[in-house]
Amino acid sequence: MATVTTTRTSARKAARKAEKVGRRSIGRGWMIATYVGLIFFLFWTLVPFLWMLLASLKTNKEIYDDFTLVPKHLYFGHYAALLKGGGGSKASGSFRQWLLNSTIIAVSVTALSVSLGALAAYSITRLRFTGRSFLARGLIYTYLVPNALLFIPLFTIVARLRLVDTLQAMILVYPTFTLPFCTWMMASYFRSIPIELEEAARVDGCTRIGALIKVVMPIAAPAVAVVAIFAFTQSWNEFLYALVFTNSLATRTVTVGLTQMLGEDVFFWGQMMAGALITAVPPVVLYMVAQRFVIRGLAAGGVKL
Amino acid sequence: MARAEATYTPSGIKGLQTGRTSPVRRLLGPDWRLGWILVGPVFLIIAALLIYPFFDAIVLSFQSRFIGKAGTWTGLNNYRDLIRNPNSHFLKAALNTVAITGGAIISKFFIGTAMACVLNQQIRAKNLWRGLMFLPWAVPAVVTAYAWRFMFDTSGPINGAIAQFHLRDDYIYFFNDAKVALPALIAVIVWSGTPFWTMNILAGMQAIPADLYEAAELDGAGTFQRFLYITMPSLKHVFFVTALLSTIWTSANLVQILILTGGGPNYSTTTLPLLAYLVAIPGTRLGGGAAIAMTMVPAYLVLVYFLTRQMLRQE
Repeated sequence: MATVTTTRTSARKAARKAEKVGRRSIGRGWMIATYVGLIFFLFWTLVPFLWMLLASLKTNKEIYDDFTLVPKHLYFGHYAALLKGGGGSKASGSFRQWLLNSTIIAVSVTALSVSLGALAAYSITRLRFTGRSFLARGLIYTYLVPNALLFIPLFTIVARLRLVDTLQAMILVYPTFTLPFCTWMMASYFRSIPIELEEAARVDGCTRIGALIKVVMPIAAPAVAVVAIFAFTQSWNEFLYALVFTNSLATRTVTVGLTQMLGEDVFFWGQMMAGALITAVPPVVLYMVAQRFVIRGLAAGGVKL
Repeated sequence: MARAEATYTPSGIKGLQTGRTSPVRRLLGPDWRLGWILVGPVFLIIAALLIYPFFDAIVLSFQSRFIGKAGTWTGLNNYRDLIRNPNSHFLKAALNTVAITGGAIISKFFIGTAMACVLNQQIRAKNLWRGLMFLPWAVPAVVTAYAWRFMFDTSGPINGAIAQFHLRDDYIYFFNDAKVALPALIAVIVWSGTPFWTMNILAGMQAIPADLYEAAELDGAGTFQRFLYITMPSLKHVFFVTALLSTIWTSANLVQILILTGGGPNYSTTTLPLLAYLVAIPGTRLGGGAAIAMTMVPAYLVLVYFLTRQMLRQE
């Protein structure tokens, strides 16, 4: 979700420029090439999704015996079985539980990331103390540490805390990959908010924390939205830590749970595709909602990465 | 402290020209107490669950340690074993990591640039197309892997077409043969990672000043020349940062590989992170797994050094 743009200019200016750039003339041949490219890329992007959707709406007979391209009747049995907690196999019976687990974890991690991140970002941008620029820079480094280096020692820590196979393990560990980005993103947004607004509030008798909650946070709403959506989707999509920290069907997250369906002798593709699509819904919906927000938030925050 | 300051004039709030600077405040800064209290939770979480584990992994890599048991110090044994013991599959995994990451990054560069060029033109319903093309980046990696596992399956569309139209005598068993499995895997990784490149390149393209193009047009530069001499050089920084970030993430990611091939056939698609996982968790050899993970650190340090140097230079 992080964008690598260096838009120092305001969002509107950038948009106007983009329009100008787009309007410059390219020949008819290039325009045809553009549309050919567009169709090719849409095909390349959408065919796997389309195939999943079609498979999830077919009966097993259609998938395995008839090889039908488009289902003759839309069959919602796979979705119904998963969401009702049935599904005909041991793993798929827990699907509802996995959805619930993922939701609990993602919501908790989002709440932690936004609140703690906002406090830290305020501290880094508004308060003067030794070490704050060191902390601000450190965030970038911690954001870049890949989880592949950390999952083994984190597993030993989780084991020592006796949190193996609990949801708390993920709620505790996930902020390590959401907090650096959230803090840093909010810090760059806070920097763009004129300090005079806060000063005015404080002259009127507001405390620093009061000014943060009543003045800074409302102005920073787009950044808060971006950060919340980032934290939620990253937590929802996470796989490796959840795989390592849990080992029973009841504590799996939905991403790891899906793979448990693969462990069985026969692959129920229809059901698996239905499960995968349900799993994809929350991040995709948030992404659609956020698109404008994200672009505005990033541009206005002048995020540099 | 905050209360007292609030009664000063606006200019007095900012600074600390209050006269009574104690040595502590001079050393730690005027707002040190509140500053550290607010940063504290984030600092503690990152220190305890990111910085400490990183160093703990180094310690672990010098130990023989199994899940559920105490470790014993074995010095460089884990590392020696990686190189001397052919059953460790270490060298194979290292080569696979380079091949998969390299192949994926180069493909993402070309496809991402082409995609961004398409989306940068004045085409109808551009926002809709852009939103759709970014979908593979928005969905969980597990879903991507699932989608493609089905695409490549014997009941999937590719083999379905083969059966329907008698294109070949037999199905293609994508993940049984290393020569097919590796490119198939790279294709999946490229499919899911390209939108990140497209997003960055597109944003970079839109930040190029229009007058550059106008000047070039006046000088008689054609579309392709403008692309080659203006667009591409202007995007140098974007390419650099995107490539480094993408290299770090692609090389460290094991989700798609684990689900699609499990590292097989015969370790031909096992990368270092996946090998570390297989050794440490299913294999319960935490020390050995940590040693494998640690071998990636020098490469990451180099990548992170260049990346942060570039990123911090902009500020």
